[in-house]
Amino acid sequence: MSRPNFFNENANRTFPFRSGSAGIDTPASGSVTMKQLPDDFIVDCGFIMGPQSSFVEGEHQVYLDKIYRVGSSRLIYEFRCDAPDLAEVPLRFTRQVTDPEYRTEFVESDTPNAIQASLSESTSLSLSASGSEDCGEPYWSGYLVTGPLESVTDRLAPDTALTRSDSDAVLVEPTLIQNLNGSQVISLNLANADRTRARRPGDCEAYTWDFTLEDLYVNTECLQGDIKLRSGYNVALNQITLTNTLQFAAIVNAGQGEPCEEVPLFPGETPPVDSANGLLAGDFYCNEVLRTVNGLRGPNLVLFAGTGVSIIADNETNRVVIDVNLVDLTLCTYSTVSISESLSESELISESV
Amino acid sequence: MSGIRHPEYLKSLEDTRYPFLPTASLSNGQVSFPEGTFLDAHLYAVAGSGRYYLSQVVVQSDKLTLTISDQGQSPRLTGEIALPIIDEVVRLVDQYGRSGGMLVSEPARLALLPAWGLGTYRFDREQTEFCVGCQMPVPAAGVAGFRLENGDTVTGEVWLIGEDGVVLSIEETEDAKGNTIEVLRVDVVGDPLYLQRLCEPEELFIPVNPIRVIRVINDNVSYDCTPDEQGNFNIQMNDSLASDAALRVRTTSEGIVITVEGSTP
Repeated sequence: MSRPNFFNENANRTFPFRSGSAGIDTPASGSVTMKQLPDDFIVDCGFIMGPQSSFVEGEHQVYLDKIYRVGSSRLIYEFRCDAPDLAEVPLRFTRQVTDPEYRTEFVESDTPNAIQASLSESTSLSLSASGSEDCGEPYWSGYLVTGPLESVTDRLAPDTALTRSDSDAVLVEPTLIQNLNGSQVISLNLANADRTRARRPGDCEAYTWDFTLEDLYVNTECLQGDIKLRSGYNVALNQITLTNTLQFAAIVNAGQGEPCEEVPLFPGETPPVDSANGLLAGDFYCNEVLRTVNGLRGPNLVLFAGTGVSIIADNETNRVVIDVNLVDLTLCTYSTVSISESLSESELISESV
Repeated sequence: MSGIRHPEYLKSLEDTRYPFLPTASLSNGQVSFPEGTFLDAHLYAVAGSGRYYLSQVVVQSDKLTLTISDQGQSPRLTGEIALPIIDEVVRLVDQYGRSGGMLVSEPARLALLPAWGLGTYRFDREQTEFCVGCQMPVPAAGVAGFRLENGDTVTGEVWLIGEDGVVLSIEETEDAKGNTIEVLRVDVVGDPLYLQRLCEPEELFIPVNPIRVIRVINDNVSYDCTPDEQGNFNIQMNDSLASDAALRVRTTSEGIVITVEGSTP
């Protein structure tokens, strides 16, 4: 006994939709609601939820949202998903009414970056660091096999639509959905956070740079394919095969040793305008700032005046006067006359007494 | 014999061994799966290699845990069913929580499993191997995810951000065949002013105008003295090697003492 093949079978049952979600009390002719969707409208379909689809099985559903007839010659089948990131990303399949029975079509949505770019254009926002439009995988993709299209055109007049209502959820069988959400790394993107930039005291002119300071500087977007890792300055890169681990360790002199000059955060990074020393952050070299005096550090350094010394501060001129004036010391008296002259003077004094 | 000519999809699978192979015994000698315990399956473990089979069922007082292994006999997917059973779909995830498919059944059909009693029930591939049609290949994506130390797995468009003195950049090199390969370079160069960044709120940090030069004025002569390479400046007396020098400069923990040795009245 011959048996119907898979598509023939499906043209007479709810599949690929869940039993009970469509094909309920379908009238023999005339217009239908989504709940009454005839079994032979769609005989098979399947969907792959992409790595960034945010789809969770058991929580989100794929459903037929709309069938509309554009003019008299074209039919569009629109599927949607209630995963949050897919709310505005339908999959649309197109048929010409002259297409044969069991026509199969594969469709994929735009990538997240392309959709974000189009949203940015529509809202006059500039495309931020969101990646290249060509980078990434489609949000989702799928295939659709339709039954005899005259069955649809008999029930759907030109320029009308069969649209799902809130109570009509024509749900796709869960095993027709492959969920690849979170299953792969699509691309690598590099950025560097801003360095800590020097600030000037309130009474000094502030530093300025000839580029706009950002929290993040995007270095490279959409790295795909084979990528090598290289340890640069002060980095030890270890591969632990047993645990499939890459370990980066910051070790002085590891990797390519210590740098002889500053490493820019992005190509073309420049020091502050009118910088004297060329340091990118606007700070000073170690030998440009008085950090210690005789090994003593600040912020307050005390100078004690011992015996014989006076230390006087002059705040107005930013001066410290260290005067070795021998104050408080017992000083030896001395004379410029000769001993003989002294004696004779003493003698003179004695005689006079 | 009467029957439904076109039974619904799942109905048509009720009395078959599907999603298991027709040759699967569905029994480990201790317990058995009745036909129709599961109605459908869809298996696509990210790290799996195919030929999946139901390798273990653990019955606990509050849940059932199903384990799916692959041809390497490694456990690849697990699914949990809370008791009492209300779910029709058993979601399967891998060891990192990534989706790996599902088993479709009905609560009444799954309710047979707790009747086995508490314990662990193991099965061989010959007993519970799934049909090839249930096993979907997964694209070989290369690096599937980055596993972080805290257990999180990062996937999708991954951003690597260097901060606090770490600088990331991209270079290019060539492989042995002359093909250009991008190289991700990691530099650790420090952030000299990071203490400034630690001030929270930011206003707590008050920038200073540091002393950079000490100008020594001696009568009409002046000298500009700069620090050494370590930022240190030394004050010392002249003739420091002379044994009878009277001027002394002593550095103490409290400060620098400048004094002249001699008698006081």
